Order: sequence, then structure tokens, then C-alpha cells
Amino acid sequence: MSPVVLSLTGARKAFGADELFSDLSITLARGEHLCLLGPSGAGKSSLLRCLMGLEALDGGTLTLADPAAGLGLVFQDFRLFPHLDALGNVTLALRAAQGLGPGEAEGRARDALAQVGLEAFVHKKPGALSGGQQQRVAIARALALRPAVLLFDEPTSALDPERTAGLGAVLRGLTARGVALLTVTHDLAFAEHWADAVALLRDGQLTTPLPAARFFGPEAPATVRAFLSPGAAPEEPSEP
Amino acid sequence: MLETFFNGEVLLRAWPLLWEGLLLTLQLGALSIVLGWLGGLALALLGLYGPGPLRALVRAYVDVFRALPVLVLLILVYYALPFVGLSLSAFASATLALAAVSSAYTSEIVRAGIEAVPEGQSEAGRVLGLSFPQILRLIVLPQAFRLVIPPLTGNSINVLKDTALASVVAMPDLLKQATQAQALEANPTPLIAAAGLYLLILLPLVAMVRRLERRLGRPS
Repeated sequence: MSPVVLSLTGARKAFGADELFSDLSITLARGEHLCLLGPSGAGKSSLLRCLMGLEALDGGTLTLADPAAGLGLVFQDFRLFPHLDALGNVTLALRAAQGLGPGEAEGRARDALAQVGLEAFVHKKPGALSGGQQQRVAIARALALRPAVLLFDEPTSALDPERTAGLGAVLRGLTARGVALLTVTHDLAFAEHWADAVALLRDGQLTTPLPAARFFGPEAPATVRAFLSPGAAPEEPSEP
Repeated sequence: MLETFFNGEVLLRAWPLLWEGLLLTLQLGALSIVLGWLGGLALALLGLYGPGPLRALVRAYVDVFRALPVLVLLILVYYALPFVGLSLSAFASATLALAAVSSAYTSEIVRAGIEAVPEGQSEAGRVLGLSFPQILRLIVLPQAFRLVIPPLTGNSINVLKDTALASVVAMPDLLKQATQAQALEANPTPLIAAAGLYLLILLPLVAMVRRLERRLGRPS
């Protein structure tokens, strides 16, 4: 069993009287890829924003094994800086937030861009890159800061099946280097194919993560099966 | 006809005066424009991110100086301030009045530019661990400046044109020199020449604004 790099316990988030989730706990091991599925509005993206500190949790504890190696987030819409080329996008935080010198920052940025297969595109601005390439720059930008955990919000929403496979391969390369991944997605096929473990966030509750084969298999818990094939479980309507 | 409106001899005699006036006009324009930019940027940042009372103060300043005619302000500065013991030269008065008004317009332009940069850009900066000043300096302002170059250039053209108002407070700018030379020679040629000089400077700037606007694909 790999060492735990992130553990969230008893997390609670509410918007006014609406409780998004409560008593939610997640553990991520080094190099693990956990996929969270769930209906729209279940709070998957909010959970990521809370983990990143963009929103505050209303309760719970987040513990990182190595606080110096924090978390990175790849937004659904990437949010590259349009006025900077790929290299500039990656070096910006290395220089401004981590205080590296120009040479060291560029070396690390080039490494990160090479890891996602973009060494030939370092001087291209985001506007001159395809959606899939922009996503890779966003991954490199997060990766260059050497986070222990990378969070992905709907990473396949803008990708065709071929590019989705390419992304899966990039993610596998990251987990092989020990980076833990937490992905929220609607893409069942992506989760089934690329995640180590899958969990369902629904009605404020997170199911126990299961290996993909078990999550999508006939032995999965009833709530999971009801979510995966709503027609087969009429006793529990999803939208009241 | 040509003798009257474009008299070569008159022009030759008036030229040294016109040249001096032109230089002064350009100095006044450049100084007012730069001060207006700096003041406008500071006002925009205070108006967006400053503490509440300061934000209200900035709004009041911007509204007042956009409403007040430049000429009225200039005359107030030049003729009224001495009554409270503050006597400014014609050049200083004109610079102050032009920069005060320009900074109000610039502040609105810069504010709109900053607000046009998507909030997600700031969030991306936060997620990468940048501080608020770093996000502003490295992410938001560089993108905002790109958006505001055309309206900012347009505003600078207005400032340059408004420098002619300084002739009212006896500053020997291009217009003042031209009217004096016209009176001296009893011939409108210096005025025609002055108008030509204004066009020579401003037409390329106007054309540049149009080009910039077309390139950015957003008419304003």
C-alpha cells in the first residue's frame, strides 16, 4: 500500500440552508487515480474548489502528508494566460510564487512541458494551440510546481475519443511518477478505463471508492447501479 | 486667394513663432497625457480594490471631472486658485486641468479593461499560489492593457486637442502663437498653418486608433 498523501475527513459544504455534502471523507495514496462521478450539481466541482482553497469548507479537516508539495488544479476550461506563450504560462508561478531564477524556472517548465509531450510548442500562445494542447499546457503549468496531488475538473469535456485516450496516457505517466490524481467527471467510459478507484457523489454522500472493475460490475452497491442504469432502478428516482 | 489664405512670405515670417508654439503644445500634451495615465491607473485600482470610503471618493472624483468642461476647470485653476494663495503658471495650470480630466476618463477606461478580464484568470493565479498584487501585475493588468489601448489612445487624442484651450490663459501654445501672428500680419495664413500642423500630428493618431480597433475586432 502506497503512503497516503491527502486525507480529507468529515468535510461539509453548504450554500445557505442547502447542504451540498456532509461528513465526506477522501483518502488519496501516492500515485493513485481516484475518479468521482455524480449527477450535475452534486457538488463535485465545489469539492475541488474547496480542496484548492478557492472556497471555504464549512467543516472538516484536510491533511497533506507533505504540506510543501501542495495541490494543483486543472480547470475544465484550462484558464491559460492568453498573453503568455506555453513556456510563459508554466514559468509564471515558478518565478513569482516559488521565487526561482529565470534559468531554473525555464528548465523546470521545459521539463514539465516535455512530460506532456509539448516540447515543440513552448513558444506558442494559447490561441495558437488546439483544445487538447491547451489542456496539456494547463497540466504542465500545475505539474511544474511539483504538487503531490493534481485535481482535474471534467478533463474530457472538450476532448474527442482519440484525445481522451491521449489524456489518459498523460495521466498514467503522472501516476507512474507518484502524483496522485483526483478527477471529477461525467465520462463513465473515461473513469472505467483510466481510474484506479471510482466513487459516486450523490445526495451529499460519497460512496466508498471501489476499483473500476468492481464499481462498474454487477456487484456494485445499489446506489451505484441505480446511478449507472437509472432505468433499471425505478424505486429510487434521481431527480425529485 | 492663395495670397490671402496661404501667403508664403507671411508663413516664413511666422514660422519661428509657430514652431515654438508647436513644441510647447507637444510638451503640454505629452506631460498631461502621461500624468493622466498614471493618475487614471491609480484611480482605477483604488476605485476597484481600495477601502470603501476611498472607492466612493474615487467615484465622486471621476463623475465630477467627467462632467466639468475642461475650459471651466482651466480658468478656475488659473484665475481662482491665486485667491487661495496658489498661483500656477499658465503651463502648470493647463497641465493640471488637462491631467485631472484625463485621469478621470482614463480611470473609467482602465476599470472597464480590468473588469473585462475573466474572473477565472485571477482564480488560475490563486490556484498557482500567486499573491493578489502578483495576480494584478502579471495576469490581469497585461491583459487589460491590451484591451484598453484603442480607447486610451482615443482619449489621448482628446487631451492633445484640448491643449489648444491653454491659449485662453495666455499660454503661448501653437494656437496662441498662430492667433498672435495672424493679428500681427493681418493675414490668416498662420492660422491655416496651425490647423495644418494639428492635423499633421493628430490624423496619424486617429488612423492608428482605427487600425487598433479593427485588429482587436471591437469598435468602441
